[in-house]
Amino acid sequence: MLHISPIFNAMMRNKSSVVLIIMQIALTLAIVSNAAFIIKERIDDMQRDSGIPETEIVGFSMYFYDEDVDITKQLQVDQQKIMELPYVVEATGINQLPLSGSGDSWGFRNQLEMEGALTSGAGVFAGNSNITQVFDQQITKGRSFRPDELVLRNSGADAPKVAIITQALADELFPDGDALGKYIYSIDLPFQVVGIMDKMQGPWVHSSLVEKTVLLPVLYNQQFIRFAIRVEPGEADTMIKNVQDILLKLENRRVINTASTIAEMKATSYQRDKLMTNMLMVIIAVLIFITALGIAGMTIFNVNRRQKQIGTRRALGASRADIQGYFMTESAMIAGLGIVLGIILALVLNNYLMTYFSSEALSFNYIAATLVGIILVIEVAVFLPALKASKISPAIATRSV
Amino acid sequence: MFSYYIQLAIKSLKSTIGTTLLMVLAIACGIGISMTALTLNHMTGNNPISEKSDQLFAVQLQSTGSSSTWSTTDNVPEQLTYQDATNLMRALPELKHTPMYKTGFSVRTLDPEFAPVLRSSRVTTRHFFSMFDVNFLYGGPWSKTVDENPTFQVVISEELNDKLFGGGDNTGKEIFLNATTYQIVGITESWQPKPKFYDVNNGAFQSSEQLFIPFVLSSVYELQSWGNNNGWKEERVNNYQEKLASEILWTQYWAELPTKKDQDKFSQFLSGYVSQQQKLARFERDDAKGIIRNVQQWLDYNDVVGDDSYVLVAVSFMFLVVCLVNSIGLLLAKFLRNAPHVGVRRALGASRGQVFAQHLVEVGMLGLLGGLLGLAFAYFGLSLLKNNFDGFDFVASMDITMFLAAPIIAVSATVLAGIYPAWRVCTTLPSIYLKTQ
Amino acid sequence: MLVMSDINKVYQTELVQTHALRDFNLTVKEGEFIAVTGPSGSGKTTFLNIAGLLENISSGDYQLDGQSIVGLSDKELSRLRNEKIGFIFQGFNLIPDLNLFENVDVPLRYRGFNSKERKQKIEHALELVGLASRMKHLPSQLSGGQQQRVAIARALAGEPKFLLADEPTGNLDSLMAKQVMELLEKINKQGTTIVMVTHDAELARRAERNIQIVDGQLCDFTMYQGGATANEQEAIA
Ligand SMILES: Nc1ncnc2c1ncn2[C@@H]1O[C@H](COP(=O)(O)OP(=O)(O)O)[C@@H](O)[C@H]1O
Ligand SMILES: [Mg+2]
Repeated sequence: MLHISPIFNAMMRNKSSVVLIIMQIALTLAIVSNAAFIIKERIDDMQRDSGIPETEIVGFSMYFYDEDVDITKQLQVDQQKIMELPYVVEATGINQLPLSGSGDSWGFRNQLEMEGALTSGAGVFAGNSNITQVFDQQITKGRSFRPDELVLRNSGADAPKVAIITQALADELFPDGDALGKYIYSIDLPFQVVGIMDKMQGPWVHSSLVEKTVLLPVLYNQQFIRFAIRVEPGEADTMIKNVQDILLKLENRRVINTASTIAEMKATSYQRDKLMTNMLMVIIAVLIFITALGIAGMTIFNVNRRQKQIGTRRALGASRADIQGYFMTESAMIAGLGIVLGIILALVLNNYLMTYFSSEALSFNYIAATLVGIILVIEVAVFLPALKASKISPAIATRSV
Repeated sequence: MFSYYIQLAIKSLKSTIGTTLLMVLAIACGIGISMTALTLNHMTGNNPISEKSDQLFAVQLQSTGSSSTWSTTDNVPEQLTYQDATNLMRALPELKHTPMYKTGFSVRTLDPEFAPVLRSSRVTTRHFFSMFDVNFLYGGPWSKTVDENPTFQVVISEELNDKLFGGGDNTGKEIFLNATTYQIVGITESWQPKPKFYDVNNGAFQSSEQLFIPFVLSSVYELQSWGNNNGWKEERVNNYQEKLASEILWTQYWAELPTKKDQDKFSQFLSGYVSQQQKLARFERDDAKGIIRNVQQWLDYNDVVGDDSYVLVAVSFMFLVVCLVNSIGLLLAKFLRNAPHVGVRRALGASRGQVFAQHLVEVGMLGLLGGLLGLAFAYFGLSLLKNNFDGFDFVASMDITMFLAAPIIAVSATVLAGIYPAWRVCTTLPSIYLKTQ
Repeated sequence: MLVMSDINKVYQTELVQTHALRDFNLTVKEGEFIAVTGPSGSGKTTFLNIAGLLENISSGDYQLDGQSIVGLSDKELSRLRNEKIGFIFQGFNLIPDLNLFENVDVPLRYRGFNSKERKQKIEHALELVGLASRMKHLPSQLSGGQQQRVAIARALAGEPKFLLADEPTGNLDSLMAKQVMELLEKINKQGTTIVMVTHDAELARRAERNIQIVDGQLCDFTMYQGGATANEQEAIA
């Protein structure tokens, strides 16, 4: 029914505009598939489970400027006072906050001797013995800290003896799966693993250490220290509003910075990714829109230019469907060429991104999905002008000029 | 003739208003998005002290253990140990060079009613101010004696001066930093280099410190570093004095070396220092060395701009290319449809060059419209960024270069894109279009 | 004077070579009114296009007003065309986006007249064809005959020596054709040399000299009518 070769011949007589559309389709395919892939990577990162109830945990930093304040004692007093509030579930003084972008990491080994040891860095959270409850951690193996394990680390005092670690760190240091009860070492300090928790992300969301976390039952005697409070769902704002007044009443020789939820800190930590995905999404949307309009525009031009020809064809017996089919086939052929070139370009672009920007290899699914999308967009863009072409009256052939 | 071409262009653009709008929109989107990406890139890639960029040098020492690996591209740590910083500081007094690090204090006036504010502070020497062109509103840096003998003197910024005293010349007054009183010797003009090139430790776009105190206080007074403290050696550090003597890396070091001679001199001194430390068996590595990098090299080395920014620029310029290809296609179709009129003009005496020029003027006008609309899009995009992302305030302001760049890029890109269609119409034989079908 | 000597024009396409003009010789004197006839495809339009400098010749020599056009650049050719030649086409070829004033303005723009001169010349040309009152109309608002008269005004506005017309009445009914022909005759009387391709034998007969092109070659049947000598003398003087 449809004759490919005359369509192809007609196309070849308009080489330059065909080449331009092919280029446009190819570039669109290359850009969209790579951009979609980057977006997916970033969204996956952003949507990773952090293992903690982000919206129910309020955190803030404070600075004790008077050296006479007994900081570890004050942190316990603060904790007690805060936990008396009806909407507070748990609270503790702490050295750093999850997903916040700043904090401490230590190196750990699975044995005291350096020689032959397995090593891994990990984010270290130091807080009161209720620290697992503050972050709502389920201990999958072992137990939580006991209150008597808390160490108040004033100058010269001891380090804690026990630690709770995430499964990810346990797997790294003890590949045989027997971490519970074993010791991990940092410099020459031993910590016995008394509990293993499923998941708790550390402070740096873009670090390879993000899943490797160690909890220690210790309150530091540091002028600059933080605080974490878990509240009942929906009570975070109340807590944020009141916390400064409550704590300054207990001890005013300190500066308390504005509190926010972990969810808000997370948003700030992922800000660049958010920016990247938003920009790329806008680019994809506008790109597809422009390509569609461009192709529709070109088809309209072609239809107008060939009006007389179309009328003549109709007069010579072509049906409406034939005419519409002609334009749809023509665009499908152009799209086909564009897609072949586009796949190559997409891989080249991805290769470039991998070489220079440590991006990952583009999965073929993205090319395939983009491809289907582009074909749909093209056919939709061509459908209306082609329909219009099919309605051209055969009488136009007999009218001059 | 030019004005005639403009008249014709307006007529032509009006007569195919749909296509015109489509092309203007396509160009505007392309320009808008690439200008947004470019502004982000341009502002993060800004050299904040470009006039002295090749006179100021960040100093690094390869002082780590023989098997240590570092996250920098050349495996050399960005910071120095306190020992090295103080050793370097005492050498070459004829050149300006200074160690520095960040700490912080709660700041109060002597007024007991004043609620203390928390401010970060730079711990450095008097050279800092002249090296980095920090200007003073009142007073000036502390003296050489103060750099050698621990004295509680402080320079504060205009912002802090306003916060503490509501402005005015307050040199000579005293303020509390934590529990200690310091005497104000100078008040600087507001100084916020972006990126904060002299210390990119906690993010390159942080605000500058509002307090400056003498480095020598570190030796007598416990000052915690608020930046990164990186260790490589398995050593236990129980107190501040142990930290000062440790291999922990936490100070930044800068030198002002205006001439090639100074640079050579300083580099030579560094190699001498390194071999001395190797002899003392402190520097373990065979490839231990000193490195100096000027401001631009330092910013590049620290990848201040970030990969994302370059990817965005690349993708958005590819997007611009698609928009232009789109426009070339439409222009070609449009111009060729109008070719019969070109034939008439040629028959009436228009030369090929004149026809070419006429079409390029039309294309240029299209580019200008697209560029201006694109500028509006970029402006809108940047305001969206500013409002939705913290800390992009400075990034999201288009400077004059960008304002000019948008229409210029738009016009030159579209004119470039228009050359082919215009060339096509002006080279076709006019006689072909004059035939009656 | 327009002198063609031994002109050949060969169209080279992928498939075939067409010899549109062969060993073509013709001299057109100033003030003449020449009608060109001949079968379709014989080379009439080709001849006119070459005469009007729209196409190059393959070989031979062509002298326009004593100047050989062989080897001239596009710019020089365009300049000559603009100054010396006016074109009229069967399809009128007015530019639809431009009103009558602007259409007539086109050749004057390329000549570089200032706006006062242009205005005066346009008005003069439109008056000559009787359409001065419709200056602001678009071509689509005119009848075919009127459109052709505008085309004539446009061709004459720059006061060219030669007017080349390719079947100027081909798209017109006989009444309108007559009007256009009368206009051309009037213009010729005022001194413009006219070469007109036509299919209409009756119109051709009204010209003072008839030539026929057959298969790219020229057959000349010159027939002088009264007044021609006078014209010639005028031209020489
Ligand atoms: N651009 C061209 N390319 C190829 N052949 C052409 C072209 N123009 C005219 N011809 C050929 O030259 C011959 C003369 O054409 P033309 O001068 O238009 O004839 P006429 O005007 O007498 O009908 C014809 O055979 C035609 O096919
Ligand atoms: Mg003809």
